[in-house]
Amino acid sequence: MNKKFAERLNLIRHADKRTSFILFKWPESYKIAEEFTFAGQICSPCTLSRTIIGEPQRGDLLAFLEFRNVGYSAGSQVVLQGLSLEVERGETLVLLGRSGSGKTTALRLINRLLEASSGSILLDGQDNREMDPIALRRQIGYVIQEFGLMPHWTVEQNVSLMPRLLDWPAERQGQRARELLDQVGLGYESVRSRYPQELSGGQRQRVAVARALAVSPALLLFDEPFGALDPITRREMQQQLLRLRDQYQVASVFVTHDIAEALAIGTRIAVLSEGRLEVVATPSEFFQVQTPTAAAFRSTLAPDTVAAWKA
Amino acid sequence: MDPVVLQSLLRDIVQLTGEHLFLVGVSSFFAIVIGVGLGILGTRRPRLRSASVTVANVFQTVPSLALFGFLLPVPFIGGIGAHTAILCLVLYSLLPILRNTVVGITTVDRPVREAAVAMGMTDGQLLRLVELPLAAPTIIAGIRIALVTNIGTAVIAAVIGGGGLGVLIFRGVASVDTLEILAGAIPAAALALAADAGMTLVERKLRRV
Repeated sequence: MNKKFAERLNLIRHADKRTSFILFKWPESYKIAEEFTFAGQICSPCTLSRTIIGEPQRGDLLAFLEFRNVGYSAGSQVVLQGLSLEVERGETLVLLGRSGSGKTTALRLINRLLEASSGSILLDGQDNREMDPIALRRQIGYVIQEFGLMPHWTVEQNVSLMPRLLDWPAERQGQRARELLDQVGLGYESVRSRYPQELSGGQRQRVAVARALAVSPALLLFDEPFGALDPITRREMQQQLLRLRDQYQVASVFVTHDIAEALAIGTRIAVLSEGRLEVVATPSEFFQVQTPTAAAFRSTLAPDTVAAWKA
Repeated sequence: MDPVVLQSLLRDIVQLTGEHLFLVGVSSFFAIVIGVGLGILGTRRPRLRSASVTVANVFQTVPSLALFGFLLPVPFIGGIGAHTAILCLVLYSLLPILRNTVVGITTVDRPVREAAVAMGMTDGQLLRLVELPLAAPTIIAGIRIALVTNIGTAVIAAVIGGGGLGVLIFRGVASVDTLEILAGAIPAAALALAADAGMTLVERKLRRV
């Protein structure tokens, strides 16, 4: 069922980028129930479903990941405040903001590297504080700017980290590592027994992406993953990520301060400013948004980029 | 030189080297267990870390001869003999091991630790799979320093009846017999050099990984 659902989702997305749809999670299956716009507005499936069927019940929730009025404070310093967001399967939500806007904090609240001070974060309808943090993290891929590869492990061992923690049989781990390294464009045979220090930055980040995908997680978290790469490698990685996203139909949250990257990667862009959500917009809507941070980010783009997006 | 005297000297050297190794071996074993154990606990509990490092520091600053003297009158744990000497040597070699364990673990790269935790390692797995392997060369370096110092310090054990190569040295000093002094000092120095070379080898092997 999941695979079929993924195919439908792709079809719709490719047919018309402005199409929106809602999914109901029936007791035993998913159903694509509605599409297009609602009341002249492009709605996210969640808002649309709420309008139609009222507040979702637990388990009926359409968004895969939902922030409900989330706040985080460190001591007396308020880092995040009243954050409400939804992310669907197959979607990449970009958290865009300046340094210190709280975007990385928001990301870390999802897999409980940090604990929210107020509000709640739901994953597939379940409050993440009700889940065991270890089990929760083993289902979520995580990619950071500094790679975070284990320096004393070979590439293959690094990629097999999560399968190993989940006690997959060795044979399946090896098979999966081969598959993954090929998928991210590194030849399995040529890199499997090398150490991270022997690889270039781009190759290391490919290994890190492969590692995050290893157990086919339903959710991927990216914290400025391509910030340390040269622009050409960065572009390649972005394109590869889009392909992998379509292939895996995974929900992603992607933190960046690079507006061009946000436009290239995101299905929606959430702009954070001083710990508050300023606006959420699709890349094409983003050019109409008039909020200060969004406008400031936009003003850093080259004029022809803007023209290309507007057309 | 009288062959009978020479023979008895050689016999002494062999026996006292054995005693010396016993003192060093037993005390180093306990120092490693306690030092590494406290070090690991200290990285989990910052208050324990500063307390244990402070205490180990204090022992290190007391002159070794004085430490042996202090323990002599203490009931149960003190007194004349090898056990008091071993206790002194443990206290004396604790600091480098403890400190290097803490430093080795806390200097594991933040992103490495963060990725390990974020992918769902438990604290035990983080320690066993990431922190200890990466800290191993630093911990071994601490053990090397402790071991080499320990071999030198164990000479003083003779003062409180703990035996070891110090017996020959102190006897030689008392009777102004250079040969006897050398008979104690040369094996002690050789032991220290051998320990240093051996541990350096282990350390280098670990660092390459």
